[in-house]
Amino acid sequence: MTATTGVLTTATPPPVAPAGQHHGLAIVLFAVIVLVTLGITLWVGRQGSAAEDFYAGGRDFTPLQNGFALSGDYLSAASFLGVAGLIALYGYDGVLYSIGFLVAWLVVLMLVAELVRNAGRYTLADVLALRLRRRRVRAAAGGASVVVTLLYLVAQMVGAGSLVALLLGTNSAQARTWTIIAVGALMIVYVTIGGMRATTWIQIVKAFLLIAGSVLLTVLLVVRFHGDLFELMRQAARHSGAGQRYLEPGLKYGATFTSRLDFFSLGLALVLGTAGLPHILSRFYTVPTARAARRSTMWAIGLVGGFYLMAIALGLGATALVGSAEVRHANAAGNTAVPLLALVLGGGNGSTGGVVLFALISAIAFATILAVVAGLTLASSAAFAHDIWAGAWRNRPGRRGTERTAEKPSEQQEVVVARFAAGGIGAAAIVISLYAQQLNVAFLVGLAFAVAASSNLPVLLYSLFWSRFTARGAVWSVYGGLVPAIVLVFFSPVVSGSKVALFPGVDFHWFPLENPGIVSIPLGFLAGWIGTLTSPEPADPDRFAELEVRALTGAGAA
Amino acid sequence: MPQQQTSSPGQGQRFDWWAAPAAAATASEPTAAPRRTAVPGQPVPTRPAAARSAAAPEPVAAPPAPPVAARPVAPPAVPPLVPAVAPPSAPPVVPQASAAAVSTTDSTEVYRSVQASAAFQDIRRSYRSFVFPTSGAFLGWYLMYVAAEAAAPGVMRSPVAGPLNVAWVLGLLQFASTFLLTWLYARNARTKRDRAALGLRWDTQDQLR
Repeated sequence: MTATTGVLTTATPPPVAPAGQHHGLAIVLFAVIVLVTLGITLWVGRQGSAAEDFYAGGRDFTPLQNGFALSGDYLSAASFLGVAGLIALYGYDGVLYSIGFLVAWLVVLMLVAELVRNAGRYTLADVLALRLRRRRVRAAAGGASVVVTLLYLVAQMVGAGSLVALLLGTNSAQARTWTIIAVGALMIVYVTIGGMRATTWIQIVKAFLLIAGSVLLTVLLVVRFHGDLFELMRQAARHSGAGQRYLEPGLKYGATFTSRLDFFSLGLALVLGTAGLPHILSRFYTVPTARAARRSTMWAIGLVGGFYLMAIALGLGATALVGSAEVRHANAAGNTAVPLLALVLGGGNGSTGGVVLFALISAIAFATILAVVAGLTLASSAAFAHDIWAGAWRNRPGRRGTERTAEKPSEQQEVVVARFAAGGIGAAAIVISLYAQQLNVAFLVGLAFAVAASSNLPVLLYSLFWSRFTARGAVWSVYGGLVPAIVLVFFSPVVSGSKVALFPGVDFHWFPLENPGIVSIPLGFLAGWIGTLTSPEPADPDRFAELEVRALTGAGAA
Repeated sequence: MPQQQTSSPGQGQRFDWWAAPAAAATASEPTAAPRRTAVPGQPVPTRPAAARSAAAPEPVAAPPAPPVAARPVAPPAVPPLVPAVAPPSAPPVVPQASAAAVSTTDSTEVYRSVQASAAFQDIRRSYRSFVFPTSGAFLGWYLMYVAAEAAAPGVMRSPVAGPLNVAWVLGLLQFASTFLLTWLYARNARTKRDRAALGLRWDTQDQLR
C-alpha cells in the first residue's frame, strides 16, 4: 500500500472540522429514515404471515420493483462509500473493484437467476434438494449459507459502527458500540415483523434514495466541470498527490507480486461470489415467473452498472475537489469521501447547501446500511429455519418413519422458527461485530464473497448442469470449498503476523494472501468432482430429468 | 427496457403477468415450436379455476391458472410414452410437499418423457449453446483484464486519448460488454426459447395433473 502523503493541494479550503449544525440535521434525517422504515415494516408486515409471505414476499413483486430491491441488496455501504473512497485514494485501482462487482451479475443472469427461480421455493438449498433428496445436502448448503450471510452481516455492522459514528462527528468507541447495537436491534425488528415483504420495500426505498442521491451529486459535479470529464480526471490526478500514477493501475495493488496475486484472487472471488450469495438468490423468489426473474436481473444490472459509473465519477470528484490527503485525513479508508464531496458541491462548509447535502448523503448511507443488514438477516434466518431446522433436523432418521415419509413440520411452525432465528442470528451478529470492530470492512466483504464462491457456487452449478452429480459430490463440494476458505484465512496475514491483524501480537501465518479465493474456489469445484466420481451410488436420472425440465420450462414452479 | 406491466397484481392473487399475452400468441400461431410434436387425442383436462384451487393442498404453491378460454385452442403435447394422464381429481404434484408421494412414479415418467421430447431438447440446446460459450467468453475477458493489470502494467499505462490510458479504456469496455451481453442474452431468450418453454410448461403441468 503506497502512501500518498504528498503536498496538501486542495482546490478548496479543507472542509473538515464540521460544524455541529450539519450533524444536527443529519441526526434528524437519520431519525426520519428509522421512522419511515419502521412504518413500512408495521404497515406491510400485516399483509400476511404465511411462509410464502415471510420468505418470498408473496411472490407478486414486479421485475422493476425486484430489480430495485436486488440492487438495494447488492449496493451496500461498502459500495456507496467504500468504492468511491478507494477511487478517491487509489485512483484506477479503485475502479477495478467496481468492475468485478458488476461483471459478476452476468453469471447471475445467465446461469443462475431463471433456473433457481423455477427449481426452488425459498432458498438455495431447495434447488439442490429437488435433485439430491438427502438431509446432509440440505444441512451442508444451509450451513454454508448461514456462514456466508453471517460474515457479510458482520462486515456491514462493523462498517455501520465506524461510519455512523463518523457521520455524526464523534469517533468514540462508545458511539460505535451503541450504533452497532441499535442497527442490530432495528434489523431484527424489520425481519421478525415484516419478513420478506417489508425487507423488499425497504430495499426499494433505499435503492431509490441511493440512485437519486448519486445522480444528484454526479450532475452537480459534471456541471461544476462544465461537462469536461477529462478535466475532472486531470484535476483529480493533480490533487491526488501521486500525479499521473493516480490514473494508472498499481497504486494500491502493484507493490509486490503477492499483492498482485491477492488482487487476482479478490477479482475471482468477486466475479464468482455474487451468484452464490444467499440473500441475492432468495430475491428471485419474490417475482412470479422465471421471465420476471430475468427482467429483474436486467434492471439490477442497469442500476448497478449506472451506479458504479457514477461512483467512479464521484471518487474522481472527491480527489479533484477535496484532495486525497484531506479524504485520508478524515478517514484512513476513505469512507467519508462522498459526504465530504457533497459538502463541497453544496457550497462548502458553513453554507446551507453544503450542510443540507452532507446530511442528505449521510442519511442515504445510513438507510443503505439498515436495508442491507435486514436483507442479510432474512436470508440467514431462512437458511436456518427452512434448511437446517425443517429440512435436516426435523427430518432426521429415527424421527417417525424414513426420510421421505417423515412428517414434516408445518410451514407455520417453520416461520415461527425463522422469526426466532432472525433474533438469534441478529444477536450473534451484534456480539461478533462488537469483538471484530478493528477488522477491515472491505476484507470481510471480500471474504464473504470468497466463501460464497467456494462453497455455494460449485454445488449450485453442478446440480443444475451436470447429470452425473451425486449427493456425496454435493456435500464434498460444499465443505471442500467452505473449509479451505476458512482455514486459509485463519492462517493468513489478516489473522496474525501483521500490524493490522486480528491478533497482532502473534505470528502463525503461512498463507501469504488475504483473500483465499484463488485456492478455495478451484478446491470447491474439485471436491465436488471427486466426490461424484467416488460416489458409491450413481446419480438418479429421474431426479435430474425433473430438475432439468422444471428449471428450463418452469413446470410446477412455486 | 420497457416495462410491460407497471401495476402490481392485487393482494392474494397469483397473476402470471406474461401468461396472458403468451397464451394469446399461441392461439394465433398454432405452429409454435412445442406444438410440432403434439400428439392430440388426450382430452384437455380443463377444470374451472375454482375447482382447481380447491383441490390443491396448498393454494400458494399451485401453478398460476392460464386463461381458460385459451385452453381448447392449444391441445397439450402428450408424448406417446405416457400411458395415461392422472385423473383430474388428483391434486397437482407439488414437489417437496408431502403430496408429492401420491403420484411419484407418474410424475417421474412425465418428467422423463418431457426431457426426452424434441421440444425440450430444442429449448435446452438453444439455452446451452448461447450461455456456455458466452459465459466462458466474458469470464475469460474479465480474468484476462484483471491479469493484465498485474502482468503487463507497462502496456496498461500507455496513453490513448487525453488522460485516458489503455487500462481505463479496457475498464470502460468491461462496462460496455456487460451491458451488451445482458441485452444479447435477453434477446436470445425472448426470441429463441420463451414461447416454447411456456408451451411446454403448460403441457407438462397438464400431464402431471
